[in-house]
Amino acid sequence: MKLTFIPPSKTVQSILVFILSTVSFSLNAQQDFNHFQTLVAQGTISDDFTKTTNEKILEDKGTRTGDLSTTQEHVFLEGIHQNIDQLLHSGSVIYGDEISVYVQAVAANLLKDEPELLAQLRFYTIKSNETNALSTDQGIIFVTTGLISQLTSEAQLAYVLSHEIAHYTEKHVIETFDWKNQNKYQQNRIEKLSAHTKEHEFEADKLALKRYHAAGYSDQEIISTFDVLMYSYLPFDEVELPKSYYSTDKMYIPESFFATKKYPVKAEEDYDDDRSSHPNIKKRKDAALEALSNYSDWGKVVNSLGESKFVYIRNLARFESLRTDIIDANFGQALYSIFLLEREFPQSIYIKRMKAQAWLGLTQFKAENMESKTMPGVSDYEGESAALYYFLKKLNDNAVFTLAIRNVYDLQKQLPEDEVITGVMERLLETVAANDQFNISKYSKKNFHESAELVKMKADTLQKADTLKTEEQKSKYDKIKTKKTVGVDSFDSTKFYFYGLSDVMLDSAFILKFNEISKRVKAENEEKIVWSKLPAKERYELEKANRKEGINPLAMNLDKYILVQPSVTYYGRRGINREQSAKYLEGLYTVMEETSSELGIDQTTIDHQSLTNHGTIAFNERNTLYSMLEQTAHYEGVEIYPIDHDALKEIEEHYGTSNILFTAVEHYYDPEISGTFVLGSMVLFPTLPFTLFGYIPVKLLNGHHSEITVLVLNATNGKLSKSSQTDMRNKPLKHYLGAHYYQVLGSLQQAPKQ
Amino acid sequence: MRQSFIFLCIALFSTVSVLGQTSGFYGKKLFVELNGTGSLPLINNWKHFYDYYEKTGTNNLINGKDAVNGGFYGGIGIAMKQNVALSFTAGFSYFNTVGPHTLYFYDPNGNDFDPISVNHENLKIRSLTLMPVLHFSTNKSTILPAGFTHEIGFGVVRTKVVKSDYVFEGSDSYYGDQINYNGNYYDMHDFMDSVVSVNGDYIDYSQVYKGFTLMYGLKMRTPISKQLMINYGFRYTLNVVTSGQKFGFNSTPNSYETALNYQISDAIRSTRVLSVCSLQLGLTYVF
Repeated sequence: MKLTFIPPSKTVQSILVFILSTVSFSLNAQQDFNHFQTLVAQGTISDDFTKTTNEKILEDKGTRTGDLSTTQEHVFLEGIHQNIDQLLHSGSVIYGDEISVYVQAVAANLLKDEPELLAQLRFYTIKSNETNALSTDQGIIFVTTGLISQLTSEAQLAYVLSHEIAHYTEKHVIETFDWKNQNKYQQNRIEKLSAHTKEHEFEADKLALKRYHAAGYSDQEIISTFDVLMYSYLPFDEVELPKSYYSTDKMYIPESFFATKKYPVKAEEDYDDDRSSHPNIKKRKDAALEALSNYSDWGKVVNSLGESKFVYIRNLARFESLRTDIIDANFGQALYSIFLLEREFPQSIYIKRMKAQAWLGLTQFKAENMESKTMPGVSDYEGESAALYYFLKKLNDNAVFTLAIRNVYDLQKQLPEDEVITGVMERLLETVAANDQFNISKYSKKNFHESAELVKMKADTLQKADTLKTEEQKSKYDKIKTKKTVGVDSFDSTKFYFYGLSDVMLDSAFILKFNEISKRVKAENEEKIVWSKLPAKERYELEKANRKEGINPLAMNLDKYILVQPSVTYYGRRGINREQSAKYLEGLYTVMEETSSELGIDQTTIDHQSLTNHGTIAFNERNTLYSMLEQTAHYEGVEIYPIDHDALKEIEEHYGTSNILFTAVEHYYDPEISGTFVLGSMVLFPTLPFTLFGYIPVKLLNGHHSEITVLVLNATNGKLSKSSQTDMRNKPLKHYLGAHYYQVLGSLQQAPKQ
Repeated sequence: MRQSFIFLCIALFSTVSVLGQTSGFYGKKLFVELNGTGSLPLINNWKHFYDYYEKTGTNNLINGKDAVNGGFYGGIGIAMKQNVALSFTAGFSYFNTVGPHTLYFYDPNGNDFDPISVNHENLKIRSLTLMPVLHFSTNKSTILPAGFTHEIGFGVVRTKVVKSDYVFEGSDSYYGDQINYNGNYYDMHDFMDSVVSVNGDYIDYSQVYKGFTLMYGLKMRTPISKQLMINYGFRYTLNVVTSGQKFGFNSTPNSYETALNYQISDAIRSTRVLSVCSLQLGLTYVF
């Protein structure tokens, strides 16, 4: 939030800052965690979001010439505005939300004697599970939800903010840029740069203390802030996961599936920081302790805005972290955080939905043999959460499928009307039905203990399956007996999952639903061809055959769509050429509009311009759509269940379509002239004319690459409806693009052949 | 940009359907083209044994070169597939070739055939080429006729000498630019016209030098609107003249003509075969 007022005096300024902070606080109604909704931007959208990068660069021109030459200033402004605008428009940044307002209020407390400085700064929240805060040369301070979720007090946040403010006031960004320019050809440049930035960090830590102390915060919270940073890679709490959390009456899980040892936390304070931008924690702590002694009369403030307020804000961040984990496909971490939050908020619908989503994701990734991407590797097991990762890793496909059904089924029983959980269950059943490993007929209608008892009764000579012994404790004969077949019934404790859905198997509505889905999925799978898994030649042959038969793989009856912020990236010799990118983007806009109109397709655009026209509503809508896109990307081909189901439904109702079209063009010039080929033809000199007048001109004329991607996502079910990717070998000129989009949109518009 | 990166990630793992069914530029498949061609006859100039002569304003001859050659052609085509098109082209191209270096006249005073070494003004020749052309792009995303294409053509060529008042003069000072015939001095040009008369002239302008051409071209068509494109590129051609007078000099009076036409057809054959490369620039209209 940017405070744009011209104060008559310092005193009045301070009062105004205080009033504005308070007003902002009261404007935001507190969230009910049982019905938590993801945080969205609130209030009036600021210039940081509505102005274009070019406008910002032009506006700032000449303002940094005191520190840099005119050319350097241009490079600097291009760099900072491009990078920060990319972040601002990434879909992860929000403003005016409760966390941003809280951060602003803490900053106002720190800067109560410096209202001019406060007025220069803007505070935004990044939805990210990274523990980070960053300040920019433009005066924007970003704080991640990951950082907030890890803190234990407002004072810690105050110290972090004070540190970031110091970076801003001391112009560390521009100084580092200047240093890099002046030391381009230094030996051991990385180490020297590291030393340079570390100086900045020490300076910022030192200056941070001054404002922190002046605001009356307690010195006790400083060292613990460094602990927050050091252990931030671990979940936001360390609580032992009881075995009973998963091994229940309904679903018994043998002991052998649970970790028998503890995983120590390995983080060290005094790590090698020779090539790091920041000093290691030990050095920072030591420096801070030394600086602490320069101040006396330390205050006692830990939470100036109230402890409950801090805990509330931290909970917002923690709730938000679940959503981020699901988007990023970190299902292991999400399940551990869910376990932590469930203890305090057992009735939260949001947590239940996230839990269902996490199990669905885990199932989908397991089915695709990609589960290793959803949680840390064994070497990274640390702390209490490692027990959960160990457990999940031990499970085979069927065990994961069963646990997922078990959990989502129970959630559905609790919330039978919930659209999200119902939708997740449907997707879950689609996933397992499509998997050869899953066979519902193998599932017992008796639970583990009942089944074990039955086996005992049938097999007089067999000893009772000692389910209480761990696998290590069992003798060879125990194991054999446990697995021995008795009549038609077999009993194998390692296949515990077949007994984990006994009540579900008795639910005729569920069985009916599963059979219905299974039939549909199997029919679809016979038709479905996973193009990405086909070898190039086969794909080409299939496309050829399709064309011959008049089958249009893009046909989807498209008559209306929402175009989301198209982009053109034009790479020049020195990286992205922003001016060319903007020029070709303008052409792309015209082309999309004209082509859609010509074809009779209704197009609505949500883009940068919409932010100026419709403000925060459009900003939030765009963020929602970006999140869906990001989730799709992280799922690597697995069909997502959209994380923001409710918000997407609203967008669908608002615009009257569920078709969301994303498109991007990326251009680079690479003639791909083979040096070996040219050299070879020089050696075989009679072929040289062919090289000079044939090979080289062909390569030069054909060297443009415009990679055009078009994705159509369905807002209702999150599925990727259609996608098209083309390497157009021309510059992204308006009519080259026009012809291409005419073809793609025309194909999308066609009705699919039955 | 981050967005593009995300798109690429999704595209990598998703059902990627490169293109649909609709071919043609904005759905239009037919096109007409009008092109100018031009070339610098470097090989011709380097390879020609005899000199080129240019006419000055006062009808005197000076040493010269074959200048820039040009031409034009038009064509009509159709995009058969997204990256394959077919067209039929017809066009004229103009060249200079060396004129005859030796003229012969029949001397009734005893010498059967008197050769006169002359400096003859370059002959202008014009080729009509009729050629079907296959346009194709190895990149399947190309939407023809727009974009970069290879062209391959094979066609017939008819070459003629362009009628003009060519100037020549004796290269030997003994003869000067006049000739003594039966005690009378004649202007060499008028004299040749009278002693070797083919349709009233000493050069047979009606003679057609037939041949064929094999063409490979590179062409880039850059659209400037939904229907119009600027095109440019190179054409490499192999032009073979298969007809024309072969050397057959003998002592009959008609051999004046034979000997002269041999030199002309040889010059044309040589000029055409050495014209291997030309630039092209034109407009393409799609409909």
